[in-house]
Amino acid sequence: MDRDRLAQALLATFLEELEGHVVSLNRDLLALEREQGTPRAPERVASLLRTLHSVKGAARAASASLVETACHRLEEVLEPLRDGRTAPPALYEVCFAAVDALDDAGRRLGAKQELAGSPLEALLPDLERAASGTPAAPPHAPPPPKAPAPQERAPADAPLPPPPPAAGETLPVRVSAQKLDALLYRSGELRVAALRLEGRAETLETVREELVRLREVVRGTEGETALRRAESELARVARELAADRRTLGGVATTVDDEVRRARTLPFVEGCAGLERTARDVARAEGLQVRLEIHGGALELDRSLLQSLREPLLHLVRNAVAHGLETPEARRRAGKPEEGRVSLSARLRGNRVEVTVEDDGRGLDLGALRERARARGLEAPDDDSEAARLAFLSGLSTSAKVTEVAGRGVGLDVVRAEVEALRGTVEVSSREGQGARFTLDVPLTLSTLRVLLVSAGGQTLALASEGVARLVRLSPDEVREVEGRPTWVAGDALVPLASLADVLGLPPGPPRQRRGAVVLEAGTARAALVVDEVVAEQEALVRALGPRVRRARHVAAAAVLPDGRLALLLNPASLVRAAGGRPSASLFPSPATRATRRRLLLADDSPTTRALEQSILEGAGYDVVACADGAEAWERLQASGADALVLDVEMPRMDGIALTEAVRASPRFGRLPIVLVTARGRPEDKARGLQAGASAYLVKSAFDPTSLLETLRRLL
Amino acid sequence: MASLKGIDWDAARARLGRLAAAHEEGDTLSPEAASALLDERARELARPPSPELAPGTLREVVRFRAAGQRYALESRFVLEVVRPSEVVPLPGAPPALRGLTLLHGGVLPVVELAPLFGRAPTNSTGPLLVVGKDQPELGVRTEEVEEVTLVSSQDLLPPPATLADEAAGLVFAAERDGVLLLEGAALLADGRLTFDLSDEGVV
Repeated sequence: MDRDRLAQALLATFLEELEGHVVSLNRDLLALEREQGTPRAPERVASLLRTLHSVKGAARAASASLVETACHRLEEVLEPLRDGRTAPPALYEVCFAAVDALDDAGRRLGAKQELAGSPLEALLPDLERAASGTPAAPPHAPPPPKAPAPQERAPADAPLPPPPPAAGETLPVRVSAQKLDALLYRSGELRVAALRLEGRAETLETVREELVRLREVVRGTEGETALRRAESELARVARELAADRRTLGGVATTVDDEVRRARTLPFVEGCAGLERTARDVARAEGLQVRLEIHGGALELDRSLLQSLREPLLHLVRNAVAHGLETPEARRRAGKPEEGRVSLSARLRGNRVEVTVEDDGRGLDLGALRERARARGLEAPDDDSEAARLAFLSGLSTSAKVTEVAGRGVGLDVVRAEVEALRGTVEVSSREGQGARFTLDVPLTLSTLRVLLVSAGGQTLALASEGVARLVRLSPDEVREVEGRPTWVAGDALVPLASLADVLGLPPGPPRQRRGAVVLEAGTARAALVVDEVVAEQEALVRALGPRVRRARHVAAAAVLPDGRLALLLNPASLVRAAGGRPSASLFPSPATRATRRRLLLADDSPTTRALEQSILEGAGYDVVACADGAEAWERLQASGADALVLDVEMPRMDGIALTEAVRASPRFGRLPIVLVTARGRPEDKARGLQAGASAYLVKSAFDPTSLLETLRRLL
Repeated sequence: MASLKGIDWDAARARLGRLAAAHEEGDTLSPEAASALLDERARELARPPSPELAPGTLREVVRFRAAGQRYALESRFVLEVVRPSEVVPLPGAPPALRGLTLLHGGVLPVVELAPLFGRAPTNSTGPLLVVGKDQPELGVRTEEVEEVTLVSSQDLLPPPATLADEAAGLVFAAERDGVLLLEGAALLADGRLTFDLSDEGVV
């Protein structure tokens, strides 16, 4: 790509130059013709030769070989005239025709046309003949065919004969990457706004339901008609809003996709310069190489390509310098003298696989093993395992340190760079047939799959790939080792800490069983106890910005699909911090466990029931959950309880009735009863308390602490 | 002819006499008076040009309240006023850094002014002033953004001497009713508003 561009630039310069040269060639030829035999002639010839030499050099640089040859021939033709000899007119004809043909060739090259079949090509034999013997063999035969030359000139003087097909095409626009990034931010904002609109539609629906209820109350009055009108109006607005939301959502997503697409570049552009690198390295080492690029059209994120540049450069250099054999050795091995290094890119799901492959000698696994042993490392028997040793620092396979391919620092750096892209690099090698490095990187650096957890009342994001597993721990799986809590995993003792504690957040309530994420950073692991694992989802990753240079355990910010921001934690620093922490109270202390209280919970909504059950169990209570008051009454009769937590509205027997029944019973009459309900009106509350409830909590103001606090007070 | 005769020689002589006397008087300025005059002139020359307080200069400021104190900041430093949906606190952050919020899809640090003035921040949840030169750099938490007005330099007083040293550079003037005028460039350049929360002490 680079080369193409360079060639393009060179050609443009050459063509510009050529125009001037044609003018001076014509001028000097004309003068020479006039002044031949005079003392000024040699000067003219010298000037002509200088000009031709320049054109020849420029033509070579611009790879216009036909032009180069023609100039060379012209030089040969004119050279004998240097000593003041005169030449027959036929020779001048040939020369003028040649200059015209050069002019024509320049125009053809400018219009990206081939020079095959051009007047210049047709003229070459004539030039050759003229050069071989100044007294041209066919004295007057050439001029007639030269007749087309002036004609060639005529249309050239008129507009331009081959107008480039630029008519209906749109001009490309240069846009800086930063501008596209800014556009992407904005389109992300648009998407978030579209998502929020969804929530608004739901709110409207709730309002409409409220209206329906209200209309029931005022049935038969004047208000009913007014309410009905309002209701249908609201329904209409809701419908229109939903339609608008769909449109907006669709547009926002499309815009986002388009902007992302605009930020991509073909893979081959990311490989710019690699071909030249391969050639230079090969030349320095006395090798021959051909670089092939497969999948060059694959469009990839610009920042990804940028980040891949260095690793690819390293790998290509290595492949040529250490992989390829000398042409001689290759011939002996029955391979073509020219070595091959191929780069390829292909999509695998939402990841990109980039391979760098050579057909050289392959990694010297024996030497790798030897070096590993020499450094006190284990040398695996398995070949693919052994090949991986190449990624360790200081285990370069090539005995000779070369100028171009690094000093044994290459591959470990490559791995570090690829891992920084959240990718992996693998190597496979076959002796005498070459090595293949496979880089597997995420398609985009701007989004990431994250595991959302909550700790200390905050939602936090962890890169999913850093999470080895999720576990639920019970107290007997946790041991104190040297005063530090440790999780007894099947195969190892893993340091255990509370995420809230590590981050300095308020601790969650101790629980019987604790959820924990096992993080992996290199070979180190640690289990971090969280309050809850919320979800796993895709998130946009945003840097913390210039104002926050470093943050404790925080790598970046994750923007969740609902537009909220969560801190993206750094697994490596968390793992380091988790070891070396004194024990915190993760589980309820044995004393509280011994006096576990038994609660009877009744709520007809399964969701609310499950929520309350988990809160209460989390606080260390034994909970018996019932679907209505009647069931709760039966269970109470059957097995007793220390307290009751009841919903007010329930089928069969509601909370009020159950409260009255409990109060009336001699056996359970003094049990604490907490009513939890959506009815927040003072008269409801009065009714509940009148029935004998010990406490009355309204669900709208419902938070776990108020329920737990109330129970603690009552028990 | 008549005009030649008409010269009042006496009047002319009297005028010359007065001029001569005045001239003599000017030369005999008492040494004290002379040095006082020179001192006055030197002072005039040595006085630094004060465009900040040049009479009649108008500047547009955004007035706001933060942690009970009223401030004004030149509007060219205020890019936006927003109400963030949420501010996520950062572990181990100093009191001046309330947390992070999202602005146009990017991360914006939310800061409190009070700690810069040696006072405790309040937990206000008012709008943010998005402060920056060309791009948003900081979200300054306020209790209330009051108005955008023009301030004439003539109405400004020097900042109060009681201001804590660390805050002196941030304020360039005060108003009669106690509003402090913040120096936007100094605020943006204040090292306490760039954060480096390393792992030290935690690992």
